[in-house]
Amino acid sequence: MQSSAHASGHPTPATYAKIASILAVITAIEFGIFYVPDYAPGLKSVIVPAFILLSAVKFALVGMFYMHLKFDSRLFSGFFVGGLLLATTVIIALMALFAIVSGERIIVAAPDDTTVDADTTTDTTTGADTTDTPMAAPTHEIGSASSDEFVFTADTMTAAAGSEVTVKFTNNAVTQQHNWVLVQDGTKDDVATGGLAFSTDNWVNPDDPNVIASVNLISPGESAQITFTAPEAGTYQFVCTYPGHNPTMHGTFEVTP
Amino acid sequence: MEHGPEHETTTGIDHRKMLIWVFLGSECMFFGSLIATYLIYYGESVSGPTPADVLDIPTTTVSTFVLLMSSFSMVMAYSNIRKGNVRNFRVWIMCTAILGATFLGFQFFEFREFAIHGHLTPRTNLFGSTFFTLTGFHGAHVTVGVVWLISLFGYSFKGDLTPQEGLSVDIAALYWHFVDIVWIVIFTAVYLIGVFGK
Repeated sequence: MQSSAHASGHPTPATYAKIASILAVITAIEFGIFYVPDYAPGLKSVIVPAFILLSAVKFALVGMFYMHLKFDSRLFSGFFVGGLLLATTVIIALMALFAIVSGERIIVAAPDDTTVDADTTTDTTTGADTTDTPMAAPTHEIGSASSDEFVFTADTMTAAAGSEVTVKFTNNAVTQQHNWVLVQDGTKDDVATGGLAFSTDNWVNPDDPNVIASVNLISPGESAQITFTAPEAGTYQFVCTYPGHNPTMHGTFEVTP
Repeated sequence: MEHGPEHETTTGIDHRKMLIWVFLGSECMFFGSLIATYLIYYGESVSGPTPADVLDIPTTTVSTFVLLMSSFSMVMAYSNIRKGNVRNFRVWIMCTAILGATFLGFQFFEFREFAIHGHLTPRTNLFGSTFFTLTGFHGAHVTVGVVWLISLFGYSFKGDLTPQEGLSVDIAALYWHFVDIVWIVIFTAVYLIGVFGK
């Protein structure tokens, strides 16, 4: 390529056109490679290295010829490559750091396997109630873990179909806010995702048809409760829909005939 | 755009050109941090959509091609201003601006599709937050570049751009090519590997 450069050290338009053609061809190859595993699954392991290699070639071509690093002062290359190396180091260091942290991440199961039955009766006169509904029925007590782990103190609750159910939820966490939301079976993640746009509605979409009942978002040390009529017999889920809590902070709500 | 006569420097290199390279070096670290953040949180979203759900490889391949070709038209503009061919310079610089604007159009279309049909916004999940931050900042850089190119096109009619003062075009070209190579990395890391590694 050097032979086709101007006397001033810059490439000719013909060289620029050749580089453009190579860049276009490489992009087309990348697009083609993307679909290779559909026809040759055995080649899947080489696809990512191939993407990185082709990307590096395009990067180098633009840098050397279009940005003239091949022909200009080496000082410019020093500034640019220096920044590039620092950036690469930051990427590798951060990825390594976060990989280590992720490796140590431990999901702790519920501290006790308490089942709160429908006939459990407790005093519900204390706490920051979020409903004025009279508490004529037995109260189901449940709380969040006493640490900031994203789990409830029970992973199963039961009630009789059609009965009046009062759930008292206590936030035992240190810093985390939590709520308690009863939803149709298998929809806990959908409800949590749907609630992401409703931060001012306690992270619950008020129009979500999968939501049966919910205790509002409460802060550590607070309690709240709700009374509702148990739905028809079957299996349901309860979940905390605060963003990021739903993967581990949920349980099964069994409604018996 | 008036640059005046060349001045002597201890390095023998024009300060303005030195400055743009130092700036581009710092920009490497800026985008490096954003790319690192995207990669760290890749696959960590607790709910969808995921890259494989929303990213459209064929469409983005076309927009990548458009941006790469804009780099070609940029060097052609630079080559012409060095030769003193202002008329051809105007054609190529306007081509570059149009190709850049086309790329932005693709990005606008993509963001709109994600928000309306893909249900992905910066608030949806970690993927949405990191994706929009990274590609949004790149799009902002392209926007600045397009405005810069159009201003050069306008200045060419004032007679301010001469072969001796081609440095103004050179600096703009370096910025534009940098935006291009950042996209080369984003296209590979976010789109190709992002979807492939689903």
